[in-house]
Amino acid sequence: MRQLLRAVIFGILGYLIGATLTWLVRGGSLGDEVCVVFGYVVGLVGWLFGIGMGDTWVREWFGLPARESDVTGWKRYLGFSTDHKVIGVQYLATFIVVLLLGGVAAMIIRFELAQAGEGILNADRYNQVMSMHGILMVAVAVAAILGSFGNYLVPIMIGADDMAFPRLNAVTFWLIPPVAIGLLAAPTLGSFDAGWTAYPPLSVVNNGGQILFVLAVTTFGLSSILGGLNVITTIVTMRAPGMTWGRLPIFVWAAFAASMISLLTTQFFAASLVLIAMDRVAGTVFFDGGAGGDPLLYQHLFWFYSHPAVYVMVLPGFGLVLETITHMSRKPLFAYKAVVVSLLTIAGLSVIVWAHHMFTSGMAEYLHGPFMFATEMISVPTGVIFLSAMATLWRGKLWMKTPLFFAMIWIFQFLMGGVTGIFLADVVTDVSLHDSYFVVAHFHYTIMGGMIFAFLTGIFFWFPKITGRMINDRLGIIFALWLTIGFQLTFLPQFWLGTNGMNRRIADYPDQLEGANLFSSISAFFLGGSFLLLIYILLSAARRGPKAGDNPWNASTLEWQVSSPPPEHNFSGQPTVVGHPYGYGTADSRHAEFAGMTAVGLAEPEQAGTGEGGDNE
Amino acid sequence: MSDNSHDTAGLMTVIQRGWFTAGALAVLTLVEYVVATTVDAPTLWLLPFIVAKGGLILEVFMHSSDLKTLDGGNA
Amino acid sequence: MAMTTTPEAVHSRAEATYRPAANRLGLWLFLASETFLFSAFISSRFVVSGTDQPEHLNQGLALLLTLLLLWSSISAFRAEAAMAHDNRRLFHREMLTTIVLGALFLVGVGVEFNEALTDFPANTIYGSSFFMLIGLHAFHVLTGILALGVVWNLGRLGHYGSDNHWPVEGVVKYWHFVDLMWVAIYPTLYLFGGS
Repeated sequence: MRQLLRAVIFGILGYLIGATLTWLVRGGSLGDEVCVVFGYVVGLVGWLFGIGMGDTWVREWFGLPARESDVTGWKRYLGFSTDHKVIGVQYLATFIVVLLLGGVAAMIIRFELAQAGEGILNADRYNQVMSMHGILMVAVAVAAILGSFGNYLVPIMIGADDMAFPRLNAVTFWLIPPVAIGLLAAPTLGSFDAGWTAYPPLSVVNNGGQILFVLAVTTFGLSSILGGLNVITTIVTMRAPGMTWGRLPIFVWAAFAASMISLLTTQFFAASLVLIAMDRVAGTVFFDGGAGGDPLLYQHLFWFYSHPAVYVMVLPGFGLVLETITHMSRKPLFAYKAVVVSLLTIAGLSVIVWAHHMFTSGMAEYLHGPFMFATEMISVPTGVIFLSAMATLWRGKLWMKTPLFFAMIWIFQFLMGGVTGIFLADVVTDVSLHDSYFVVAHFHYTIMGGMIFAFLTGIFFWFPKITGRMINDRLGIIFALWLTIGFQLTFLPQFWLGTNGMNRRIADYPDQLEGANLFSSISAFFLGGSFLLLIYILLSAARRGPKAGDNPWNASTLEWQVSSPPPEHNFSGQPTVVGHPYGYGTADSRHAEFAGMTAVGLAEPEQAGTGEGGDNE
Repeated sequence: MSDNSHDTAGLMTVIQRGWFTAGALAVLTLVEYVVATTVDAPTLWLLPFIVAKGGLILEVFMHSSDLKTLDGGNA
Repeated sequence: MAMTTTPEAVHSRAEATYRPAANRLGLWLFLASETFLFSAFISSRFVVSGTDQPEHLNQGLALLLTLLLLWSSISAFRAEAAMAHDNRRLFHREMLTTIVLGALFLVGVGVEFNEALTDFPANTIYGSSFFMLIGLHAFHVLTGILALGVVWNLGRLGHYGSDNHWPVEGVVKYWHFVDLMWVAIYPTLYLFGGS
């Protein structure tokens, strides 16, 4: 608590010092964007120093002994903890809150769109709410799975006691709150209204809130880069003896592929935003067509990150869903090697497809064909992952609990997103569909369907491990169905709306589209309501759910072989990996052995008392 | 620290390698400059210089070969 | 939320800090990521202004800066080799040389910026790329100098030895990386346009 308070005070002081000094040096007014930039940077440093980076890290740079925080219990979650499990939970809680905030913005948007003409918001205000919804949800999509489950599961799954760089890991998380504060503070400078994509020239000339957007999102990018660096280093250097690359659980591979993308390409997003900031405050002319600049440069830089970012969102989702499916259908993951190759291929291909977002931008004609081809190539490895999921389920002993419900719904959702994506990858259809509600529906199916549903799969599957308590399964399934039905009713009509001429990012639309919009809005409120049930389910289970025991799902991977929640350094003895992680159905197949213990991770254990396997054979 | 004379000799060998590399880099830089100021549209001419200089820095100064031994050793 | 400094805590930290494989890989990944940042700005320069360059480029100063950076590379290299062989005196001297040369480089950049402000200010398209790229590189030189200073000070206090000098190796690798980026930036801004 004291750390957090100190961080806030140092952050505010830092902001004031940075802004005031800049103002003294260059004159003008204290609210100028230059002052905001320097204030933010110094404030960010103050925040990090205050939260505990100073005590546990910076002191060493000056030859002083580091001071460790000796907090225990729930207060660890409010401070600079280097335990990867604490950081995973911090990410989880933070991004559920951000998800709900973004959801509130979505409700406001649908409220405005329920009727044609100007409703509760004028056109400017609508753009601001829409931009806020976009960037908050993109942040959730990029970091929620990799930040929470990536941190929590990767070290345990590979048999390590922590991440490779625990202190860097803590810094990576504590860079997130300033992002949220920066974005939510933007209305004080007139908000930002250029969408989450922040295309110039608008983003160079609009209100001052845009500079806070630029600063906050750049900070967020820094956090993603450092997080990706940590995950990769952990996977490469910290694996337990016997944990060969061919024995890694599939989620670890997915986190590895996604981290590669976020480590490298995020720099392009940072670069594009820095150029925006330079054009705004330093008088450069990168995006000023009149002075020889080129607004399209921004789109190239931006999509060079932001298309691969889609795979930062969904690859870890693939991992969570495949894990859940293989454990809960009691079968080895089908075509493990092909899935690994597909994950890496997607990561590789993701950086050569970006310009399919720009078919109507006026970029050179000769780029259309290659980018269309490369984009459609991605459906091949994605198809392999679908086939693996389906074939693993095929003739499995399906254990129809909430996580498997979500995983199976995920297959449908992402299939919808994938199939509608083909029309957008194809130049001839994209020319008409670009910037229509068809696109909105498409990416909500891929991102919300592909990422949020996988996130929920992960929450319901690993909740017993993280909290040590079981979730009420009946309520979980009700939530899954409620959310799914609400989702279809909200977004299916939007495909129709898009093909009938409704533009995205515009507060108004032709009168004849009012009926479908009203229907979509009412469904959206129904959809939003389901999240209240989610909060109730999680809070009530965390408070008084039945004890879960170490391994309620009888799963074979390492995280299930330790207590729930796991002890401080994950394992009491050094685990040694002796076999494939998913040896279900194979007699005497074992994943790991612990020093001083007999074999664990048996392939065909008895079904747990908490549920029964459906017998589909 | 134990065998000082041996250490000094080893150090000299390493440092000599560094000086050779630096010398090569300096020569490459000067030739690069001369090429750039005499040739019309020198971009393609200069690319080999960039690759050679970058390669030398990576190999000798940055010890890029240590990348080969980074795997945790149980692959 | 009390803070304590127990010997055990210090000990566990020290262990965590000295894990060569993880540290090396982590730094290489960071540098790979940085390479993408530099390539974003370098490619931006080609997108907006091709290889055009103005008449009034101070070629002599740029060549001097290049050689200055090269000189600092060899002194950094010597500092690392010295620490790897437990030669504290040489380490001490070469680290200081590197820092001074880095500072001189920054002074040179200042002179260069001052001339550029009149010849091709930031509101021209070449000037935009020029200030952006040189500024980004100078920022890395500055952080490199600060890191060198920290490591020099810790080395002076006797924190490193031949079998325990990862921070020296790391900061020197970073310094060479900054030089490596200059190898690409220098022709991008000064040479590709011809004379």
